[in-house]
Amino acid sequence: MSVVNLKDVSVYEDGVPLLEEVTLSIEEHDFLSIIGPNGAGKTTLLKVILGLITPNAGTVEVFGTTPQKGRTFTGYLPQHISFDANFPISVFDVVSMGRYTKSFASYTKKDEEIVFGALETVGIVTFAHRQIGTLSGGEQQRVFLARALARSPRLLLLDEPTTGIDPEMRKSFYELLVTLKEEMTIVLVTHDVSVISVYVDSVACLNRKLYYHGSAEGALEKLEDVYQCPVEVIAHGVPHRVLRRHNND
Amino acid sequence: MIDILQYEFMRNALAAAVLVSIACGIVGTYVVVRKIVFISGGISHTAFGGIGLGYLLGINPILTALPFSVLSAVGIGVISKKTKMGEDTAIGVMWPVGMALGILFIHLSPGYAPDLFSYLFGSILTVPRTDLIMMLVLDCFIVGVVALFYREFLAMSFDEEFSTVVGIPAQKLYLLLLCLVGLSVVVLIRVVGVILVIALLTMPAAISRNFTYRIKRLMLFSIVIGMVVTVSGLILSYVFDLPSGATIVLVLGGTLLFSSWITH
Repeated sequence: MSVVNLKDVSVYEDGVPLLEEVTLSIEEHDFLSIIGPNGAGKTTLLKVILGLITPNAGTVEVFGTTPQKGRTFTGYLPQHISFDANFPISVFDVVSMGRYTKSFASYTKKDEEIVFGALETVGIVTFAHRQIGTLSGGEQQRVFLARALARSPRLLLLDEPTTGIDPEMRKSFYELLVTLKEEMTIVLVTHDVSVISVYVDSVACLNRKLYYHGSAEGALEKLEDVYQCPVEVIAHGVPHRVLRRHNND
Repeated sequence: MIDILQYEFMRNALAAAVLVSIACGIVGTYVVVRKIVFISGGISHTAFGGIGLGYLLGINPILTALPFSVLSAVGIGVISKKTKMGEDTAIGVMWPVGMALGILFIHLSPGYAPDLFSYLFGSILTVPRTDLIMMLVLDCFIVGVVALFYREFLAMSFDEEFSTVVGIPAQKLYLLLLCLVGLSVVVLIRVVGVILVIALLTMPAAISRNFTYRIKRLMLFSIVIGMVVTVSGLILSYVFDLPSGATIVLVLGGTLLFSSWITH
């Protein structure tokens, strides 16, 4: 079953194309990475899936329904979260927002358990009652991941989640995602090309248009088209070169 | 000290202090944490147009300030969100236009405008009983709305995009919050006047922030601080025969300075 179905999706802002005729379907339990240069429309694509941006042309289906309805099953970790570090709110209360479903209700005991579960998954349960601004950048990032996970999502959208996280933690972050893949479909927008080779199942190369969508291995040949310059792909953290050489063979 | 309570105007003034503190404690907390202080300043000054309209129509200016204040709240919110004008420009437009309308209306109304000064700078010792009832009704409405939408307001104030993603109508809620600011302005006008309203919407919450990072406590602390400060301002102005609105604001300013100094 397709979790996300985009057909001929185009988005324009003030006449400037951000996405052009993107057709993409994402299967259940896929771990898809969307790569592409700055301004390629990666974030726009996620926002289209979330229904935050309505495309000028084309159709979007999420879980066989509209993106607005599909949001119930979607967890989202934005690239930039503009929030006030001094905002009077605890880590626990931030993550609780992920449990919001409807008005005129309150968070239940079960919600509380799920929130603590999410905090445990990302390893910051001890910070639950700290004010959000007292945490470091990397810790805050984990709070927002926990908030996305607290939704118990079937689709997890991550926009450049490892920005500002040190390389050591990056590795454990990706390993966490691999374990989460058992329960959900993951879409990861990233600049970090090294991640493709090791962790993800499939890759979409985006630069306004969708240049490639398929296995990670096949993506590497297409990278040059997308970035329009030679790309040297080095796989970090693996002892042997897993990537086929390209262009010069 | 007790014997001043035998005067009706003093009992009314104390009631006004309590009612004002509830509005400014709850809404002021959002004003400060959501950083809409200057939008709120804009709304309060625009409300002066409503005061002027009351003079022109010959009815209680508080009654005309109410719709005026709510409309200007929605106006500033819609202009800043839906047009390319930007928030600060929207404030810069609504603020003087509202005040100019007020001045024009007062100029056009027959005769002399007697207690105009009290609408500008407040006068806690002359709050009539009818206005107290109106303030009570508005307070109940504000408390009710915030109790119903507490989680939504919190999520929207912290992270508008994420709250939209989980299905909270963040933009509508933001307009609702601005309307609550508009209603609080009406509650506060009699006590501190349109020009000084912003002090009560900002300073009690700013003082409380030095002591807690939990939003419910922040509201509670702000209400208590609001009460203590308004009543002390009231007593000071009564004893030394000072303008009450200005006295309350200065006591607030002093308290803020002192609390920042001891918690720093």
